Amino acid sequence: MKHILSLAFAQDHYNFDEEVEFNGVTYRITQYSTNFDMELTESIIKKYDGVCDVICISGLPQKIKFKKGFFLHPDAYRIKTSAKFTPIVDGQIIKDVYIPYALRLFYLKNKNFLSKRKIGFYSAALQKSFVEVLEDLENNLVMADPYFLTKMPFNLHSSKGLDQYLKALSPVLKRLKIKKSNVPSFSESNRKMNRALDEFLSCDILVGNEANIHFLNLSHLKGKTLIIDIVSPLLEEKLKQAGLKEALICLPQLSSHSKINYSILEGIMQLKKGIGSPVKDDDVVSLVEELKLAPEIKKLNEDNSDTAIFSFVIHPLSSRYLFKLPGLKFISKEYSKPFESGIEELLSMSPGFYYGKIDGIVSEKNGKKVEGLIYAVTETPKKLMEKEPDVIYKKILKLCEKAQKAGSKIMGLGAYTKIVGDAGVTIDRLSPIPVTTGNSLSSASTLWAAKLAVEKLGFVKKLDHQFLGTVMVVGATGSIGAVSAKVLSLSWKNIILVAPRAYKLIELKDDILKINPEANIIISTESDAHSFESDLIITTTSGQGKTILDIMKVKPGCVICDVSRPFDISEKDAIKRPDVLVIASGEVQLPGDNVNIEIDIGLEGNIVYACLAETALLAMEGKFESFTLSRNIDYEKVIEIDKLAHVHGVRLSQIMGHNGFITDEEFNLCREHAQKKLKGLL
Amino acid sequence: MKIFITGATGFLGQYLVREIALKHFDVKEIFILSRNSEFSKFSDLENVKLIKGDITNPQMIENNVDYNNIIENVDFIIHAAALYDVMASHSECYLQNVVGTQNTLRLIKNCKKLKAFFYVSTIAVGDEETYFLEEDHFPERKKFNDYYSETKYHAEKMVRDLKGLSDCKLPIRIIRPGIIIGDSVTGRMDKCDGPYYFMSVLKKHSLLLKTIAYLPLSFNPKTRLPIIPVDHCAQAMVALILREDFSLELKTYHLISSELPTIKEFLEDINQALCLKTQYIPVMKNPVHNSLLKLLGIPKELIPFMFSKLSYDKTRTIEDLPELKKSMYSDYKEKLFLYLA
Repeated sequence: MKHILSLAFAQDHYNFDEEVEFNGVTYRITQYSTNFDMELTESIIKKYDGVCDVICISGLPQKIKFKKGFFLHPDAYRIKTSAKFTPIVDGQIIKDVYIPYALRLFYLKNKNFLSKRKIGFYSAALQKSFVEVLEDLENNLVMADPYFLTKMPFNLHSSKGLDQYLKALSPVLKRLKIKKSNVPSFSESNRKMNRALDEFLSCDILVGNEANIHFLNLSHLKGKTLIIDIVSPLLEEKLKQAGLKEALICLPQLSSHSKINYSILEGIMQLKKGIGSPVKDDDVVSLVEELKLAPEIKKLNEDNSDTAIFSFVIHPLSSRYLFKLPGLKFISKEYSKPFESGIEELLSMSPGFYYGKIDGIVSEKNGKKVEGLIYAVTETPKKLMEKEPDVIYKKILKLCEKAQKAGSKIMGLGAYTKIVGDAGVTIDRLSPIPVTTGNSLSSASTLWAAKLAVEKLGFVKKLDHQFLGTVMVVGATGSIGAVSAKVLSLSWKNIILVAPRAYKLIELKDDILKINPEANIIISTESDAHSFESDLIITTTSGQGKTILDIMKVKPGCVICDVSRPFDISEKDAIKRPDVLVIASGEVQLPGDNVNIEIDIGLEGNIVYACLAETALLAMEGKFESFTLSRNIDYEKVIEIDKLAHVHGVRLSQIMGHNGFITDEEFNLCREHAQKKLKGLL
Repeated sequence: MKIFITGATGFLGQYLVREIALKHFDVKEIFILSRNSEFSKFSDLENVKLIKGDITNPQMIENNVDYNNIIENVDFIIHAAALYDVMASHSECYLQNVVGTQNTLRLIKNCKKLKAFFYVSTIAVGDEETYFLEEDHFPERKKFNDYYSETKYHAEKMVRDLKGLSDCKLPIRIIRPGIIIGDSVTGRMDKCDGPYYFMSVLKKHSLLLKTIAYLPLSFNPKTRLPIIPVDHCAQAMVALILREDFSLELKTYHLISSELPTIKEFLEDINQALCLKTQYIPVMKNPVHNSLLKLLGIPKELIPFMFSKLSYDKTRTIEDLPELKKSMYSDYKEKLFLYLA
């Protein structure tokens, strides 16, 4: 059995001598934590030199490369060259090759997690492999190297600055002893005294490596996210106690092998290669492939910070709403008409402003309090569509900056502000805080409303949560249509998909069968052919006013859920069939006994738009990311937000028709008409 | 019965070997591990076999001709080797106490017929900032006064971790002796440490002290010295081996005398032995008096022990070793002060 000596230079009491199985081979690993004692580290190396097969050192300052040179502390060099017979490795090559790969891989899968964040490095010089990648992702970097290495009160913000700093300081660093007491504690209590520390501790994400984190005062990690090379069970426990929110672990696979760290992994690779041929980049690449190494996020604590703040932008839904502004209230309804267009024009030149707030929102899942800041732009829908998107972007971006200063961590786009231009993508790219359109929850809540309407009318029988009827999705291959079809296929016996292009319908049918292999699906390019069979019809087309469904052919007692804007079913058509219920959307109410909306957002009580509720939900969950952007909606996102709404207590409150909420009386009337008509048919 | 002892050539070790070899036992072989060939110490004893080896070496005794004999046949292992010196460097203490213990634990894992393992720890693993150290309690500590306490603490943790492993079916006994002092019968003491520093310092300056009526010293007059004479300690350990019940639970024993002197009493007893009349006035820890102690020749590492509030649980120790009740300071103090002669 091969014998590995592991020296944990920066740890103080993790010693063991065990046989460990890794990848089918058993190794004997003897570990000593030498707690920054150079003399001890050297004497143990001397004792084991020629006796064990490889010596792995972790926690020793590594070689720091910068332009036209490198810096290696003379003590570290002495240690690394102190064995005559046994090779010494430190895991550096694995970090250099694997970490950039792992971070990129993670970024491609979770773009929101790593973008638009203020990222702090305890020591960027010791974590160069992280710096290069994170700098490429346009993050705001804070490198606390001057504080970490020499306790100086300033930070660096680019790798160029870091290079210059290291170059200038290397003669001093060489003379500094590697001692535990030379490392500052990063304690919150020093924050007021030190501007650099204050800036560092205000970062959302901190980047460190296990060796350094171990001996710091960890209380400053409360509620933060940490990017770290590896986490041992011992450190995980410490981080949990410190209140760390989550950790992005680059090599989580090693967590199940609690005795193995980067240097031991390199040691194992060295043993495989044999003494005399050092481990190279290619070996690391093949190891990554062989072991399928990939990073992972580990949630350690629920986010328990006092109150999370979100923001939301609204705008007047028509020029009539402008007269709700305090300065214009005195003009009564009867006399406002002649002023409307002038005031609409005039006000649209004004910048956006803070309108009011929503407070008292309390999550049912974790009791977290959430507060919403509502901002307004003054454009009516007409103006928003008329103006150049850039002008609107600028206005909203200014509001995003204001919101960030006010402590808000996410911005939601209300009503037409999410339709302008590329539907939030550009705003999100330029905004300092993540932006969401809220369309995922809008889709989900509309489907909740459709389900409730069908249940209230009571014409469709149910068996174990499944409607024994037929649902038709018109415009099924569009983004909202496809998502609706997928969601509905889980709760309806028959589903009819209608769209103009048959080949797209076939693809969609296959997709749905993957989600629910038992779904009974009919595809068609003609809506009217099947409208009489359907109990629920979802229309989501971009017909722009063209009639895509003849309401006269629809089955009595059918619910038509019109998701399209402008509507597919006009108000005139809807009146023609009192036995058919046409609904437009579902609005929701926020959790909390004392939800207080201090401003008029166009809805009654504590009912809010579903898109606003999505922003609030993301704040309750602590998921500050650009959740929904562009005109496309993901099925996975709708399912995710649906689950979040369920656990946090966001519930459907009212069903909206063409003209406001649909009352119970209207339901009863519709049911009576339908029953009469059905009898007539019989 | 075959026994393997590390640290047999040390002060406690020698008493231990003699106690085992000469009394009660049906001992076939005692293997004693030694770096140097210090066999002369045991030349009069039968059944004692010297094994040359160093506990700090990774292979320890693996290259020894008797290695197979040891791992195949040894019934008991007593790990008494340690570097007991509060002034030693971290590196020295670590090698002997941590590395040495880890290597011994490796040997234990390889032994095939081992019936029990006796690990000699120390009461210094207790936290002086607390008031009471229970026998089975292993305190959470981050701060240490000296490297000896620190490394012995980590070593005991390793032994406890071994016991914590689910597949460990070995009875383990942790013995935490107090400050080991000289023989209660002969007064023999091999080196100057702990309370002996006071004896030698007061003796050295006795002429001067005769002229001083009052001397302020930084110590807590109520602090009791947790001492035990070396022969009592060895006898108690051998009694434990003899009465071993091989139960799998981890047992810890605090070996200290039943009657302990306070620092004030102890200083007065030294005075009496040296015919001094100086009154020692206790003062709080402070730089001036701390440096006065240092000037006199008492190492600063001893100061925290002079203010220790810690007392030690002995419930199980007295239950299993009732004879320890007879270990009384007042009975052996005369012999103790023979050191001054």
